[in-house]
Amino acid sequence: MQDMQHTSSAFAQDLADLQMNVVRLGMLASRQLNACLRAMSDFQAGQVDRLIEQDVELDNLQNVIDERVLSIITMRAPRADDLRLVVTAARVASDLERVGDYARNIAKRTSAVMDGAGDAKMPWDALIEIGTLVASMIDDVLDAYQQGDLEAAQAVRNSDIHVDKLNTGFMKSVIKMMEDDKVSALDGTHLIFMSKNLERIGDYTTSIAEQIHFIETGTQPDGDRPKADGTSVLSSL
Amino acid sequence: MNEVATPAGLESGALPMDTVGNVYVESPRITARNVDVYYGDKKAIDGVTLDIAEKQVISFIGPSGCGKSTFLRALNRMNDTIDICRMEGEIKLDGEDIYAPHIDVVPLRARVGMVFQKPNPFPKSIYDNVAYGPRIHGLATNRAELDDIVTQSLERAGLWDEVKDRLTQPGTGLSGGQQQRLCIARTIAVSPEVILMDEPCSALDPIATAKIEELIHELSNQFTIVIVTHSMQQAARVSNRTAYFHLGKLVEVGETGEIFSNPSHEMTRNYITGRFG
Repeated sequence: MQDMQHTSSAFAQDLADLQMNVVRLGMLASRQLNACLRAMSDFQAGQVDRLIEQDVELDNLQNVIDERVLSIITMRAPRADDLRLVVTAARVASDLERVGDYARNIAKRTSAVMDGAGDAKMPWDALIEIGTLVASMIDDVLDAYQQGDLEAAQAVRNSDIHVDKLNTGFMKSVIKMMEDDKVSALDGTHLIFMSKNLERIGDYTTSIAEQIHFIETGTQPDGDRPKADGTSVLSSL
Repeated sequence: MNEVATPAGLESGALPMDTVGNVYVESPRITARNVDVYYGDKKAIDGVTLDIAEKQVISFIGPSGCGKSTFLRALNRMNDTIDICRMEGEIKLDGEDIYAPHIDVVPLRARVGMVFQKPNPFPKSIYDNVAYGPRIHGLATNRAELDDIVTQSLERAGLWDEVKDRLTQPGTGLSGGQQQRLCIARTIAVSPEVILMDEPCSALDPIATAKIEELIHELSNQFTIVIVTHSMQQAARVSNRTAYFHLGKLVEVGETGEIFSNPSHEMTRNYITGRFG
């Protein structure tokens, strides 16, 4: 889009503030996830307790964004790409809030596994690998959102297939570990859920990438979203 | 790149485009082809081609001086009343060239009626305001027929219940919104095929505006309606298609929902999002 100034500077400021709040929400969600990954890496279950409490910040900011969306629609009657930006902000905020929820759930499970695993060796590195990929997708999609960068958004969308593959592989390996009694059924279940939560965060991030496409073009991206999640049809290892 | 002469009050500029969107429709009531309109040496409308569909509402939008009212007035030869105004190109109503030498503008303007920005009832009774057109066009052979036309026109204009007990009182005594609906009743009393509306709500309050918009919606079942409006909200609410004019050119035309949610031309987008400098 050509960056021509709004005749109403107050309207332009409203749009800029809205976009900034969405990015702030994304940064909070990203902080939650990265802190989880650090806790796994450092074997410090205590680090995640604070994260669980911080989730309320995301909820509050999402409410602020929803209120601003309603206010702008009511007061400014946005049209065309302005309208798409405003309407999409609510959806992107909802996606990011869900990212925060999943990160919080991962944090709880991280704490539970670390508290209960004793000396058992957990596949933290494999989980951190998935988490790192997902965290970089969130950072990239927030940059793409701020810049209106279609190419970067498409790259994020294409990355999701790698998350799916890693998640499928992780699930298989944890089931094998459970069969071999290397991890308990309880810990194994936690680990599978953690990986699945990361996969879902990847899906939400991909959804945001698709929203960027819609904001910029007024259309949905061509073609089906690349998928490689084999967990739901897994019949053997 | 076509160099465009400058409508009064606007800076000159070269416009690089032809019209974006489909200017043609399947069953047009009016067809305009390569229409130029000049005020003296000034070209106010430049090469506009557009179909206007039967029983649909089309809105003309654009900044002041873009030529939307000039083009609207070309559709029933109202510009003929301006000495220095001349038109080139072709405008047909139901396939008949309205600028052909044999065309009488009086019956033409009955077929293509017009409602103006400011309500302009005649200084006559409410009844006579509506009866005036049918009388001069000989549409009623007796008083009973005339009464029927007046009653039906006022009903279709949504005014009957408000004025049925005071038909002999002056039309000028009504409120602004009622006067505008009276003017619409007067227009439809002669059974036009097309109704042109030049900013019909710009002098009305929001309630009166809502009533006129509802009326436009109802009348579109029977009439082809062309409306010039500065209110993009109004264009979005009342019209099936929207046409954006700029510096005398038809920049873009399309389904109203598409124009306001995802316009194809950058100039349309800049205008409807308030980025017109």
